[in-house]
Amino acid sequence: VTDGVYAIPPARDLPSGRLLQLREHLVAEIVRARDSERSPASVRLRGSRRRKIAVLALAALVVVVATASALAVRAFVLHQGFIGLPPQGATPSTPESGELVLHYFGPNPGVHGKSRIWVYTDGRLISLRDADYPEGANSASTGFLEQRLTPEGVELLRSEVISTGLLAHEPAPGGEALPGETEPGYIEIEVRDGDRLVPVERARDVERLVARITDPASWLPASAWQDREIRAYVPSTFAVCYGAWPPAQPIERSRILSLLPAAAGDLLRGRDSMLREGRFVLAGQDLGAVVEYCSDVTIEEARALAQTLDHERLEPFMPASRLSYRFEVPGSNGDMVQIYFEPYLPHGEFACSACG
Amino acid sequence: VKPDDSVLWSRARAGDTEAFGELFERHGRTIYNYCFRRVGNWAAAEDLVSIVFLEAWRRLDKPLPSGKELPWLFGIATNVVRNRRRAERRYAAALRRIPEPEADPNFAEDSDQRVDDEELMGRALEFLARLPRREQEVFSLCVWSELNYEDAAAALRIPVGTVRSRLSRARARLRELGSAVGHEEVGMQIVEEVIE
Repeated sequence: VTDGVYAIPPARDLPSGRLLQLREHLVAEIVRARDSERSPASVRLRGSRRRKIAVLALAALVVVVATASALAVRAFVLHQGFIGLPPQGATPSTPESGELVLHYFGPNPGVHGKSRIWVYTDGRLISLRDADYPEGANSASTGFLEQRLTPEGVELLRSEVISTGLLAHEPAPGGEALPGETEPGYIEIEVRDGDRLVPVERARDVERLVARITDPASWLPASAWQDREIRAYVPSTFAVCYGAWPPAQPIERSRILSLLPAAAGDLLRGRDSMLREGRFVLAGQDLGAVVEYCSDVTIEEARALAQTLDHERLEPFMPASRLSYRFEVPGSNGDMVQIYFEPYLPHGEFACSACG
Repeated sequence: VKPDDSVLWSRARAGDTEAFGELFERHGRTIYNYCFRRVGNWAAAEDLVSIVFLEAWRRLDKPLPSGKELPWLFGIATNVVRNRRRAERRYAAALRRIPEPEADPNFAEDSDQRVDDEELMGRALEFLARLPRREQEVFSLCVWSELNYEDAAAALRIPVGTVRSRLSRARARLRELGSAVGHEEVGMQIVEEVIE
């Protein structure tokens, strides 16, 4: 046959003994995942204890409602998005945590940049768009904005995705795969299906689906909105992340902390840190490994940290997208460290505001 | 007599992790090679094969047509490769827990071969990258992994006719590109197997 292309290498076995090793690892991971699903929260409580908890929960609810009503009078709501930390006194979004129903990352029709949208069972619709919106923080980014849907609105949006998208685990044919990471117009959608959040990897009409998710105001009925007014999303907690930037040789956490102003280093040293590893890919080109350390801080702690960094006149980095600083490692060959702040979202994760 | 894939699949769906492990042992090598042929790096393929099976376990709740277990794994592998960073991020913790490989007495020779493989595959992938993604996927499944049209259709969840037309377009474009860049001059052999 002569119409072929390049030769490719022959198929090979995994390195000696590796297949069995990976099999054991796979089974162990599955068992681990299954065990973690059986969290203590799902253990059935005995009758009397359950009643006690119900009474306590009711009492707590009364306190929460009363407190919320009192606070509502004094709530400081921001009608303009912001980058970085909220103004002093701004009221954090409530409830502090929420269950994610829909997550979208992808193009924003009509504008150049990307959009990220998160919808929660409690009705919150949080968005972050690389776009110039009247309610946005600046011409490059809206900052995190919030609107409120009714339960009906949440379900309409969710069922729209379920009905027009094809969930990844459905074996039935149909539709087209959403653009992948290395393609222009990369799209990532996850939607709640029962007790799981599942990725949508295909859609019958991608353009329509994107339009519906990114502009729900254009098609949702008035009854779908509890509060259509756009306001800034104010988190209760921030993540502070630091690491080498641009990706070069990873720098040890202790080394970075020793380079920060003393007050900042001390605060972060006392915190648990999460190691984040990834790849930095720009325009389809892999520019190296990213190794960062992230810690959780309250708004006030984040404010104190930022003041310290400002005081030391660290260079702001990508200020239109997020609160971020960088500085050169003394005595190095131009190695830089970046430290940035990202707001936690209600589902307990934070997004990369500066990633397009 | 070893149980066939659909029996193992049913057992796995009922929660039998060892049955799923058996499926891994049976098809891990095939998926490993497919991943390598999509990304051109053996170490990455090793991580990806783990991710593919972890992802497959996550999606076990839907029944499959009997005999389509392997095509379905190819389908999951295609999605995982398409969104590799996301998949690696999702399974980062699990990947970190993979034990170090055992010492291999033939390491040096094997290692040299694998470096050559990666170079060769890199060039082939660079060439294939000139096709639209849909055609790359069909070509990679049908030609490089030798799936028949029906299985490729099941993997990609598209009609069989679409597989045929995409493969035909891919071949035509590759012929065109091949003559345009004169790839024979760089000493690559021409190999392709008849799969119809």
